[in-house]
Amino acid sequence: MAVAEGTAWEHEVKRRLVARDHTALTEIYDQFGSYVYGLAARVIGDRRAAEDITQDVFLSMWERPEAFEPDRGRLRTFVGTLAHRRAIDFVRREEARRRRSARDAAAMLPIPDVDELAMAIVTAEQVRAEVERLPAEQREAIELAYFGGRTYRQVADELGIPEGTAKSRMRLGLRRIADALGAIGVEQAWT
Amino acid sequence: MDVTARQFEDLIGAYALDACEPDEVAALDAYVDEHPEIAAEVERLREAAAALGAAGAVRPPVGLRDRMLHVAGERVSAVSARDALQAETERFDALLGTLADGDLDAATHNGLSVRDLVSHVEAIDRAFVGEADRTRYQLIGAAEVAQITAETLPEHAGESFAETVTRFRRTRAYLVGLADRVAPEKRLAGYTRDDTLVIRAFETWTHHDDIREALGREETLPAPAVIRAMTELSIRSLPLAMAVRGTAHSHRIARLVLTGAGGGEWTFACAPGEAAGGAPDVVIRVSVVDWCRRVADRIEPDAMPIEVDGDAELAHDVVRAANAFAGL
Repeated sequence: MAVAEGTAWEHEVKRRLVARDHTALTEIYDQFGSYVYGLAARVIGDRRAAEDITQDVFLSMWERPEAFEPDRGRLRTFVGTLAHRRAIDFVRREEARRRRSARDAAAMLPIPDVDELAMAIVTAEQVRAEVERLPAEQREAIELAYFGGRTYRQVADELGIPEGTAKSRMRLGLRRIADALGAIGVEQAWT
Repeated sequence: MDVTARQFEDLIGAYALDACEPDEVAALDAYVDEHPEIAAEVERLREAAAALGAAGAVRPPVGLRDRMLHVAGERVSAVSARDALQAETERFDALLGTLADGDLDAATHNGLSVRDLVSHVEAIDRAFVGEADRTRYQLIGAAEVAQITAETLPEHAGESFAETVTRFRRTRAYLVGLADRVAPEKRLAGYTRDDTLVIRAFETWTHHDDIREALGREETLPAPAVIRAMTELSIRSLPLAMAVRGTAHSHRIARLVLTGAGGGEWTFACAPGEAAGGAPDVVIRVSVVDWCRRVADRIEPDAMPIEVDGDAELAHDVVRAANAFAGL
């Protein structure tokens, strides 16, 4: 399977970021700001900290645009990975004081920003639907890891299952979501 | 940790979800870099993970966009090593132009008078320029700097300050010009051409500040882009600096957040030759100007306002090692 080549827009926006064009930064913020902020807010459960993470993610793109390689992956994935890693860094540092269960996080999920072009509400529902179709044990492991900031060892410990089982639930569940997104078309799922 | 194909397959879901243990992440990152055939599957799973996050997009607070753009405007683009040195040379030269006769014998931080400090800067510049024609480099480290200074200052003991400044300007112009005459890969006294120019810019700022402080003048700072160039060099040198100090921490990661114009954020391994992947063991937040002063051995760790989040001992060793390569 080959990695998709970057889109013309991704190559162009990277070129403009490297050239210190502020409008490129504005453009990616407008495209992915709600995604980054929503993800950080859900993982951290603290809107002020989510603002800091959001700012850090876009400033990182501004200062080191060369880190994004359009021919190795999509910009949205790059930005999402950056945001998620920073958010879980934060959560792991804060440990028990800030960490909440994935169920609490779901209960605190803010209202989606339906106006953002890149992630319309239809998309969100499609993704949610795919997650809902997962076997409960896979969904639980994935949500604890992705939104709860747990490592697979912590997931295993929390669920009282062997580490190998935690790893396989994450792998199988994530592959099912990836397969489903592929079937409906990843581009459609995001736009 | 060495990763086998089977282990990677076992961990690929956790890896795409950022749910591996910190000590595993660097090894997994390296495995992906070394096995391009698995990049597509990793990217596919990361896409799926990212899509999970897309389900909760929320409009950020109205002011965040403007705040982020304002901070971005303050942060700077890269400046070439030549331009960094040229900018600090001009600032230093302008300072020299304001000195009165009564200022020249004031003692500076390293014990040299203002007059001798300028002569010292020229002597070290000359030593680096002399390296340009060598086929094999001769390291100029802290000990060599002290030796060159001790040997050359007496040679110019009788000259006027105007003559010292003229000598400095001539040698410095030649040094700046190395950017055009020397190939980037050539090593000068053990350093690449551009690192040499940034090192000299850094020393010029340091001695500018020494003179400023000796005379009780108001502080001025290099342009943010110049500070950034110096900072990046200092952080690239940190793993080696920690090894030189005997305080390298294998498989440990630190993140340095340098605040203020020219600052930024860097994540690095705390031992030479290791990758800086995964969550940091410590986050150190300090002003970029204090950091640069620490690198130049102009401030002690205890005198620096630092915020540490994580492994305090690791933070201590990072800050302690920062001045490992400082000269006079």
